[in-house]
Amino acid sequence: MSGKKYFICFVLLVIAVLLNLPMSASLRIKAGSRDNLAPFQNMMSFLIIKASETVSSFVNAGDILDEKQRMIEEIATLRHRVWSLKTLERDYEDLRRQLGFTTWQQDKLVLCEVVARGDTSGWWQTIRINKGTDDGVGPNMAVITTEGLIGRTTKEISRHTCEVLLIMDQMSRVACKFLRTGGFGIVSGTGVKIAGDIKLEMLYAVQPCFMEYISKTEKILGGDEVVTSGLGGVYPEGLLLGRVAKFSLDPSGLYQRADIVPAADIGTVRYVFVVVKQGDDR
Amino acid sequence: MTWVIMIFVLIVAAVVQTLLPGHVLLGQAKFPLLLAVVLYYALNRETSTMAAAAFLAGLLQDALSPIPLGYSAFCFCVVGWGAGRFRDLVITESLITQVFFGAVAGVIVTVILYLLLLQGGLVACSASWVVLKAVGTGVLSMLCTPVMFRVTNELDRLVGNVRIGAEVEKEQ
Repeated sequence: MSGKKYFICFVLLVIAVLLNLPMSASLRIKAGSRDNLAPFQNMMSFLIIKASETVSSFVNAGDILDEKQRMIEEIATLRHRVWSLKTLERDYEDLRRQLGFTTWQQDKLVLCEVVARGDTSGWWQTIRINKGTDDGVGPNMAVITTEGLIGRTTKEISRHTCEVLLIMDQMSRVACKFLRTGGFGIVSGTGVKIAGDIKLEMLYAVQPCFMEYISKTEKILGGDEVVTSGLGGVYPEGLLLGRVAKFSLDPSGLYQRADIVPAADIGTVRYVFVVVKQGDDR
Repeated sequence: MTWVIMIFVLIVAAVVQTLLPGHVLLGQAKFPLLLAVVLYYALNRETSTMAAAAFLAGLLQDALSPIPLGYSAFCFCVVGWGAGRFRDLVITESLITQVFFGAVAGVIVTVILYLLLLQGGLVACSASWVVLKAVGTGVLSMLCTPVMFRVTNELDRLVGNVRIGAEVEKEQ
């Protein structure tokens, strides 16, 4: 066989080896490749964002001052609210201590920037963030915005980047409950679909997620807030996921279903927080 | 210098492919820039060069997505080998050739990849969505394949890489 045929056989052999690699080795190789490509991705993402901001500043010049004023007022309101909540938190901790409960530590939030929307293939609803294991980010951690839950980190994680599976992906499952009544259910993503009112945005025609296995006796109201229940060990309790759009009895007649509109604007998200759980402190 | 251009084009294609969004009306298909580069080497270079391009392109696509390692490389090798069989029968500089091969390759890669992901339990899509995605990939491939052919060809000319036709004549 000539040298070139040996080379082709070698390539095919390597592909066969890759297809049969253990998951841990495969993930390590992917993580290394991703880290090497991260600078290129960050640079491209930076250029696109700057170009978008430049165009936006020309087009929306008149609105910038109004928006700035509105944000200043919002920041002042939020600061006052945080100060009030700190007082309540102190009282809450004192009461817990007196009752003999363990001290609850706040989960750490790692601020991340979205460097890519979707992967190279388009089979999953994902985003990539610019933080990884070096920043304390690990697999199966909740990812939120100031508006609510958007997904969880996956095993596709490297030192400087991480893939986030969004709640609207069909493979996503979140254990949730109604904030008002405490009734439990499972929220699943429906992917993206071609709906009647589809707009021309390139990315997501976000469809409501659906919540199922809700007890038949549960009294659901339109607009009810749905939060994570803390069951399952992935998502901490109390993260806002969305609100009920409509509800009905499942065709099987055994439980209720509800359409949940995500609270977070997933289509335009740019900065997210990864919730790094802290252990109990005895 | 062939290798330098190949690696450079593949890296740029991989990064751009990740950044470009996919539209819902096309099944959220992405512009298959990596596939277009593989087709370029399949139709303009020897089989060994195509195999290397397919392997690297597949590795990059899998690294930047949740696809298990090796799946995309396998798909690209299959399509690249199939396209390479027609290398001497078509005019590779022709726009129609590039558009046709891009469309067919886009559909085939999508279907093979879906079957591989389905057997691994990694996707949960309806058949209609897969059909839409395959058609969408074919359409986008028709658009981006001529562009990638042109870009890669110009870079090859810039650094003085020769075409396979000239290599064959030299060997004869």
